[in-house]
Amino acid sequence: MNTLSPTRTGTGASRAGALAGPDPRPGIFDELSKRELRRAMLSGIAIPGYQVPYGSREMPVARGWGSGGLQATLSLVCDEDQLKVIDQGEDAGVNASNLRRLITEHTGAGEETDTRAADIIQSRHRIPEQPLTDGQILVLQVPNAEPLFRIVQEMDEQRRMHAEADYAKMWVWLYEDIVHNGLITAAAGYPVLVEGRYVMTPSPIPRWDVPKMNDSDAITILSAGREKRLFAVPPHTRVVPLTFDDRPFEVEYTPGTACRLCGSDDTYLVEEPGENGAPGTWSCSDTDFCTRRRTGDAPADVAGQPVELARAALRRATREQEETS
Amino acid sequence: MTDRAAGTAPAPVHRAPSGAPDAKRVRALRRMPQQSQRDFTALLDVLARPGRIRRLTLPEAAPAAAVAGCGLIDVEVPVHVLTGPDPDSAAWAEAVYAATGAPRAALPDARTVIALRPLTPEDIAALHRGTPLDPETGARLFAQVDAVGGQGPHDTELLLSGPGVPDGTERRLAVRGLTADTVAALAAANAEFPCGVDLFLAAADGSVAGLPRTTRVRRPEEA
Repeated sequence: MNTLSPTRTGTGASRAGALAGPDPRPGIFDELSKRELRRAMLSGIAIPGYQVPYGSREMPVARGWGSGGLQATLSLVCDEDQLKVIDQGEDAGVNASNLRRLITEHTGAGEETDTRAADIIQSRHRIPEQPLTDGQILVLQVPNAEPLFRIVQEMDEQRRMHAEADYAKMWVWLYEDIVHNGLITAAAGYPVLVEGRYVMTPSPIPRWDVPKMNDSDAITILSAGREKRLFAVPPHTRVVPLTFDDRPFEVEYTPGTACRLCGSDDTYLVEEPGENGAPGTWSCSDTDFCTRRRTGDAPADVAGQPVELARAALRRATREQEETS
Repeated sequence: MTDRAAGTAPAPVHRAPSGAPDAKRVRALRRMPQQSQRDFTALLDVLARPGRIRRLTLPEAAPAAAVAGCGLIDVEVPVHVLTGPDPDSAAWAEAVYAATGAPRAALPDARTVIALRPLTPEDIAALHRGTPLDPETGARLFAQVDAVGGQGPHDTELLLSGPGVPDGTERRLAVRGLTADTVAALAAANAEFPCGVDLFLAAADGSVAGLPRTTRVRRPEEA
């Protein structure tokens, strides 16, 4: 063999180095693994909503703690990028801080909390309220990639249903939910239909965030490290929550609440329980947006305007009440 | 079985007689971590937004389609390189295999195809499109064209719509070196979503554009 050929012996790492160059900062994720993730991301973009299998690597975080998102981000990021990581809308959460520190120390990317300045946003359970723009990539950590897992358990059958777009059982399940409970009870990870073809879980974001995925300006990558699957939504793609014509999609909303810090009533609010049985207070889940609302540095409308859906639902409910009384 | 001393038998060498890989070409196509990351960012962007054109930084004289492909393939990806009659393109094809360690595959079995000569409708028709169960096995094609994004009279003009293009609009993409027949063959190959092929067009100046299988391609002369 001449010296040009990659060495046939030696460790996997040295072979990867011979083929794809030495890892600039070795340790977590080698170059050939990045290439596999990148190929999976391109397939995901070309087949929106389809779950592309990939060989999930061992990561320095346990599976289920963002290992899929971490692998996607490490394949995307470069030292000139600004990286934001959030956990439930919070930049300072333990999981988010540690992932951000791990990635920035390993890749040389900059740490960022302002959504507008971030090139890559890795998130668990939320999509920022700030509308995302062309050039940004949202990486969502996914604990359960399969939207059909509550309906059929066999993976072969799930794959067949996706292959044939046979979602009849999904519709029956949604219908039975309404019959039993009066409403569709799916909360986090509400099933969506992507570009009229694949049923997809949007990851466990609240219903509030689901409209933000539709016709977004940004690329969305969803990666499940434990289930070894990755899927994607390109920009300007139709993402429609599954529901019935006479049951409009509704988002979480408690009338009369507003953030105790910034006063917003059009953002996703979380309740903080009061002390000694006192009524709880509400505040924005998205801490970056809340901070900027207070300084007047945030846009008037949050991405996807989910509050409009909430107000429409309220108007419907009042009308129905008037009609019945 | 005849007993052969381990390590003494020479490894079988599959090389086109016209071009053995030379060191300069292999070095040009061996993409380093920073280069492959930069290339990937551009390729992801153009595939997610059909009609957009980004520029890759090319090593001297290297064909853009081979450069774009070599940053993504490795020992796990069966590759076929379509070469022209000239010895130069055969030599680049050898360099693709030598630089990446990718296994050789026949055109219908390849997961990634690098076209160093103009594509024909027959090439497109022969590509693997994946199956409804495994649509991601459809071919990923990197095609060398003369120019993308130009205004020349010999350009094939395409109007693109679908995911990545805002609803109700079309994006215009002009390509030189891609015939109307090939475009029609591509539309036929992508008629049965989710099966299909994903195409990257790469020009000599490093400009790249992406046509994922979801993109609806229309010629302006078509109604």
